[in-house]
This record gives sequence, structure tokens and C-alpha cells, in this order.
Amino acid sequence: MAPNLRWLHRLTAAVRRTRLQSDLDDELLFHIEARTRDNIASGMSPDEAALAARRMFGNRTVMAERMRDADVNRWVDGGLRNLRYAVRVLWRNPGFTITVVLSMALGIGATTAVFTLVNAALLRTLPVTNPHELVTLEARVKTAAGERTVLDGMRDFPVLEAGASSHVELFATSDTWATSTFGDLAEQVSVGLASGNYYSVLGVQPAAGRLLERRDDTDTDANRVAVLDHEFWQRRFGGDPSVVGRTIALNDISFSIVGVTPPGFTGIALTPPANVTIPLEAERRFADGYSFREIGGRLRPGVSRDQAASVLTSVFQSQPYHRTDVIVAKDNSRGEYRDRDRFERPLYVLMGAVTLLLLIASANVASLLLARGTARRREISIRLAIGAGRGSIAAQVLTESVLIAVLGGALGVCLAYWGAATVVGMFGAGTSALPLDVHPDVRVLIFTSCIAVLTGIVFGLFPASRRAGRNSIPRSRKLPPSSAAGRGWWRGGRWWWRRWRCR
Amino acid sequence: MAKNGVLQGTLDLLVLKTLDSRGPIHGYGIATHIQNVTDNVLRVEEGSLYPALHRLEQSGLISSAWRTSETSRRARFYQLTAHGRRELKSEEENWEAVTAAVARVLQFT
Repeated sequence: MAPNLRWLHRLTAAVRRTRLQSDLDDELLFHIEARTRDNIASGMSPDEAALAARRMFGNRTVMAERMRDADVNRWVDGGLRNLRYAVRVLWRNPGFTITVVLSMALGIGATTAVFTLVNAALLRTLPVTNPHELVTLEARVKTAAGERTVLDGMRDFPVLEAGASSHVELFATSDTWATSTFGDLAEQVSVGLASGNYYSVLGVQPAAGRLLERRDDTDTDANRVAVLDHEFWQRRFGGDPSVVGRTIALNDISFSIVGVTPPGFTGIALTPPANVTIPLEAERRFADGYSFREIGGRLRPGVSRDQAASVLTSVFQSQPYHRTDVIVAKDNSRGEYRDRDRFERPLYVLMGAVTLLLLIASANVASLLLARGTARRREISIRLAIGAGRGSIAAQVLTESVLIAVLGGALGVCLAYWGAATVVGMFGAGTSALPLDVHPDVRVLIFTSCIAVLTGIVFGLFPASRRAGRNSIPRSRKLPPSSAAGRGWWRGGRWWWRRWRCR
Repeated sequence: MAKNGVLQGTLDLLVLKTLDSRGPIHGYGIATHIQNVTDNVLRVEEGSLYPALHRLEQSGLISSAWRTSETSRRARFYQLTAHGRRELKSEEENWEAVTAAVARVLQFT
């Protein structure tokens, strides 16, 4: 290697960062060497030859930048430029923009609203650790085609819990109403009852204080405890942590508040959460006698629902009064919801219907875009004539349509927020209202973003391919008048309006 | 590109045509080929050549590979892709249409 090329190596070492650069350096080095050799062959002195060869390149940094530009510009700057341009085009055609964005907002909004319901009722799992291990138990009479019989939590829970503890951790729950008094205020509250292991089996951590524990199962005058629901704590006590340790009276029996459940946890059923939860054993103090108890639990790792059910059944049948009944363990990862079976099919049908609606909206927007494409032929022809690639024009048209879809999607989420609540209200009024939390969550937002971008691409691709494909330079000779280029759609509309009024 | 003010954008056409007629060839070969064929009338400015090659490769018109050159040094060789060959054809037609049109204007007296 010629000694007078060392400058290039130093430069290279200083700026070598990317493969592109090192490849480029090698390539230029080869070029300069070759040129130097040819220069010497044509009679120059070696130094002169090398100098002349270097001079041919001019500023090397500028060149490297131009090459990088080719990469970066294509993606980033190109994208930003397309976005800026799309914003400008939409801004200058307000009528068009409002029409298409509203169309998309209705389509995406309806789809999102229904998906919010599907998500809340059918997809979302409970906010506990490993929700898929959760089960609820039902007893069925073996002979009568699986008819549900009552599982007597009071009598059967201790037997089942002890007998099947190697396969499933069971807890029992119930609920009732009570009049609570705290200070001077008395109000009706819903009371949850749970065995002491309820929260620890679910893996729920307290927001303040502690939750129910095993030792709370023994009900003595010295140990009567209550756990507040987070939402009730916020509403009734303003989220004041000092209520932990004070007492609340339920039907004139005092319970000491030991803690608060975490936000978002509303129990194992999709019903409004109990305002106050107390140990199951405390029930006898104020409920009149017997109440129905649900038995639920968590499968031990590696145990299937069927295995657990068969173990539970054999324990169950060892009791003298249950010889032929079987226990069924039902998946409870999504929370108990008695109307789930009833709503599952209608909800999916509705989902299909609004998806069709979205497709129709997309088709409408696509045809509007196509119609406007005719008005914009002049602009496209000029861009093609001055050297724009078809790919870049298609990318720009696509940016426009995705922007429309994203704007529509944003508006659609607002519509959906209102729409989902309305649909919930339509399904049931008053006390039988759907107990569903229809606030859009992350899954809903991801869903909406995906359909917005997808529909944007779908309804954009067709016009994009038509526009980029058909226009060629000679066609620009027959340009439509330039007034049709900028505000064409809008102005055309006003012209029509004036003519109509003149009659 | 060249000192005599040939239209910008012509460099791509010259590069593509060189690759078409000379097969796989390195950047320096392209520059000397154009220079020799035109008897030094067109001199490819090297600061423009490599960015142009890079851009053409990005657009999929040409492809490149490292090989050993005739002087047994490693060099990057370029060749046309099928897409590039089609593009060359349409560019050539376009060029001929334009030069014919310019000629007609010049001959009009």
C-alpha cells in the first residue's frame, strides 16, 4: 500500500462506525489506488499522481453524507415529508377531510365499542396471579343429565378443602347486605364473606394494611375484622389510610378495619365488588342463619381441571349423603358471569356485523379517495414528470390514507367510550344492568390502533396503486385545469351549489 | 456530473448502460469506461459516482458483490438486476425521445 494513502486510513479510523462506511472506505481506497497507478502509467510522478487521484473526489465527508442520505432520507425524512404533505393536503380540503374522518370514526368507533364489550365479557382475565389456574366448583347429579345441584358450602367446604388440598387450594365466598355505620353516617353496603385464605390463594396484595388471613377464620369478639374495597374506600373515606385500625359497624356489630384491597381487584365475579369483606365465620353474627356459599379455588401447578374434579368427586362421594353426585371444576380465569353463555353468541355476531360496517366505511372512503385522485391527476403527473418514483407517490398516498384512518381511530375511541356504555345500558336497565367494566384498556387501544392502520392501508392501497400506476409523463400534456388541483372538490361543490340556487 | 453541463440524472443512465455493456465492473472501471468511450468529453465526477451507485443499489436497479480485481485487490463489483435492465430500456427510450426533440428545435430555422 502506498505510504501517501495513510491519510485515508487515519480518517477511516476516526470515522469508521458503520459497515456502510467501512465498505465505502475500502471501495474508495481501491479507486484511488487504481487511479494513482493509471496516473503514474501516463507519466506523472508518484506524489503528483496520488494528489491528482485524491483531488478527483472532492470533499469525502460530503460524499459520505450524501450516501447516508440515500438511506436515511428514504425512510425517515421521506416519512416525515409525506406526513407533512398529507397534513397539508387534508387541511386544504376540509370538506373532504371531515367526511372521510367521520366515516372512519363511525366505522372504527362501532367496532371498538363492540370489541370493548367482547373484551370485558369474554376475553379479559381477572387481575390476579395466574388467572388460568382459577376454578369454581359445581355439583351435578350424575343421573339427571348434568343438572346442577346445590353445593352446600357450609357443610361441604371443610371436607373438600381438606380432602383435595394436594390438587387444589379451595376457598369459599358468599355475600349479603348490611347497614353500616361509621361515625354519624349510616348506609346500606354490600358485604362480601370469604374464607381467610381467599386473598392469599388469589395472590392479591393489599393497597393499605392487610387483607384477610387464615387466623381470621376463628371468629372471636377480640378478632372481628373487615377489609374495605378500594373503590368504596376512595368514595366513602376519601382514600384516607388512617381508617385502617378504626371500626366500622355492620348491623350494629363492630368490625375493625384492617386493610384495603388493591385498585382494579373486584373479586372473582364480574359483579359490582362488595364494599366490605369480612370472614365467612362472622356471618352467623348478623345474617339470619344460612346463606349460599360458592366454592372456588386455584389448581396446584401441573394439575388439570379434570384431575382436580375427579379427586374432589371421590372426596365428595365418600360423604354419606352424596353417593352419586359429581363435582365439576369450571374455569374461572375470566371471573364468574352468569350471562356469559347467553351473550357470547350475540356478541360475536355483533362483532361480525360491525366489522362489515367498518369494511363498508373503508370502501366508501376508498372510493372518495379514488374520485379525488382524478382531480389530483395534474399534481401527480407533475411529480412523476420531475422524477418522483412510483413507489414514493404510492407511499405518499398511503400516508394520507393512514393519517385519515388514525384520525378516524382517535375520534372512534371517543365514540366507543360513549357507545360501549350505551350498549351496556341497552342490554339491561336498572338492577339487572350488565356489571361490566367497559373502560377501554390496553388491549382495546391496541386493537383500535391495529384496525385503524390496517384499514388505512387497505383503503389506501387501491387508489395508491391506481394513481401511481396509470400516470405517465406524456399524459401530462392533457392536464385538467389547475383549479381542480388544490381545492377542487370543495370549489366544485360550491359551484354546483350556486348553480342550483340560481334556478 | 460532467464539466460540460450534461443534464442531471444522466449519470444514472450512463452508469446503467455501462453496467449493461461491460458486465460486472467496479466503480473505477465505470469511471474510466465512460471517460474512454467519450474520448474524455464526459468525465464522471467521483464524488457523485459512489452516491449514485449506492442509490441505484438501494432502489434495486443494480446489485454488488466484493470480488478480487484484475490487480488482485478486493473491489466491489456492480451489475444490473432484471429490474435495472428494464429501467435502462425505458430510460434509453426516454433519452432518445428527448434528444430527438431537442435536435428538432435546434434544426428549426
